Amino acid sequence: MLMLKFGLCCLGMMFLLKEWLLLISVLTILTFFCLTFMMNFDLGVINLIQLDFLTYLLVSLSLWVTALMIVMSFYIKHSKNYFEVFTSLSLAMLFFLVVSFSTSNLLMFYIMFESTLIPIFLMVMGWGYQPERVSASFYLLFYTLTASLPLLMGILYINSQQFSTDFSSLVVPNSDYLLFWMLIIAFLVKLPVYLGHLWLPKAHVEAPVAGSMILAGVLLKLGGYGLIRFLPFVENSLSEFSVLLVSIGCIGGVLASIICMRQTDCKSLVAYSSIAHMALVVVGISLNSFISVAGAVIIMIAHGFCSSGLFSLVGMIYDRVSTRSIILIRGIVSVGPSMTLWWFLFSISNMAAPPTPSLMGEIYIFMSSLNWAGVLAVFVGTLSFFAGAYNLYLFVSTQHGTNLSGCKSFTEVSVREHFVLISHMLPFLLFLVLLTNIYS
Amino acid sequence: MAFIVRQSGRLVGTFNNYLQPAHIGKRCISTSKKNDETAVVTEKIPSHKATQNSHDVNSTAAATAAKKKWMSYGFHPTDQYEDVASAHVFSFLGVTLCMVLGSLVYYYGPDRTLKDWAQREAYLLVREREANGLPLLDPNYVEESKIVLPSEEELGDFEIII
Repeated sequence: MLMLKFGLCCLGMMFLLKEWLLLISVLTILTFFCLTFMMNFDLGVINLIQLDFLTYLLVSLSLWVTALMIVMSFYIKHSKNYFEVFTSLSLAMLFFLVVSFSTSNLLMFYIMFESTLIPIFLMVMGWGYQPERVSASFYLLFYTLTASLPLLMGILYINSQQFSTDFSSLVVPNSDYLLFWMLIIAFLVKLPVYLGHLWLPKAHVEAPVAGSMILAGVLLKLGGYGLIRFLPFVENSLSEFSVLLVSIGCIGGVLASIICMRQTDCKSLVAYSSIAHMALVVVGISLNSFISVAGAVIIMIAHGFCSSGLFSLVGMIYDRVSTRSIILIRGIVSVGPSMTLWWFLFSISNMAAPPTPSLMGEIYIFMSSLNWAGVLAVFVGTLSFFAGAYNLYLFVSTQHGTNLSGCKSFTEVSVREHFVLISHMLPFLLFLVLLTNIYS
Repeated sequence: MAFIVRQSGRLVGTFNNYLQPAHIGKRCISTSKKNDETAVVTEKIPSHKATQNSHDVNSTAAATAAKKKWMSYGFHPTDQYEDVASAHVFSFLGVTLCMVLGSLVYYYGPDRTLKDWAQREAYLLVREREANGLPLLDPNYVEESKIVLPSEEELGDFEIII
């Protein structure tokens, strides 16, 4: 019943579009109630809704990131660029996300999974910065649509066999490899895994700040969530293809990390780092051990905060110097030292430094991958090394050195921006203890 | 969509009143008339917050100077009142309510996920099993004698994977 109330609250907030202060207040209060009172993991009266720890984490993350993305989008409000429409799209996306994370019906999950594409497509197309946003939004839409069509066909096939679309009816015969791939390909592209990743850098670069925040913070987790939900039912088929998936994850992650080192666009660098992190998630889920899936969940949540914070930082830089080029953004430490502090904290969090949850997740996945095959030590070690390398490259390039003439007038980080960044970093660190309950 | 935007506009007026308190920092200092001195002219000394109310604009130099000192918190570029109110609301709801109170409720709230109970129960079971001389962890989750397996005829062509 609680989830139904949340869904209705999301719709009810549509009437607060013009009063953004109340809207964000309602979102933060909803997050508070979600965090504190949504811990009763039992089936409600309505069979459509299910709740467990993963749902609890992802719904809390969705609510929080949505509130922060609206706070970061005040430039849209002040420039009178259809802020009400933007806010309504954000709320619609929040509704679709909350329902998709909490439903127990396969078809409802699919509908909500696809529905999240529409608001992000409109956000990228409508509020993006450059003409390339048209191409980027089409890449985003058609990659995900094409990959999820087999998922719909698989769900309808299961319905024809089992006469039900509930998750409990998701029985995949052991030798039905085609059905297995039809079910999981959508989530692999959504994550994205390396070979289906081309839409992500384009979409992230062309999206507005808020679009990038919600895309990196929550939408990518839909893929991981789907894989984890489907995992108990496809275990036998997964064991046949685990070598392939782990290989793609490891090698793809290493390649994505190396590509990061070549990027000149800050947003593109953070986007490729998302691909590297999600590659670890794929490895963790493919290994199908308790600790590896726990590590995958922890990395998903940690990445949600960290990546969203990094995109908001890049957005703040772009607001001031109107460029995202690493070559042009230099010497921020001499003109905006408070921003340097946040850049440092988020960079080290992205490279999984202690005491962040990212380190905990990576350690879990390293342990399980080394237990699975010793040769994976080379790949995960290389991935971890390059994670440190590209984050260091990003930090040193943007913060150190002599700043260029274009960066001389640099307004100090405002209270609103400090609030957004604290709201990313503090829950990120507080979640460390919460995520230790992952075994409950 | 248009209906929703129109309705939300109508709701704005009702909520705006809650953001504007009746009195903002109006302080009056007055002295009584001295018997043996000339009368002292009492005047209101406005605080810097008094300049926000558009209905009470003082054209004194002090008020103008106070207004110039305002720097936006980032929530609104021109309206000082909305800017300060937003900062206070977000600080309270985001930090105090969600982070501080939320953490407090989570860490000190009842054991909803039964994690602490499970640990206590485990210790009790370990003590019981040690007292009875049983192994601490039985490799069989269920006692073998209680498992009833189907016969070969019932299984038929069902694929078994071990």
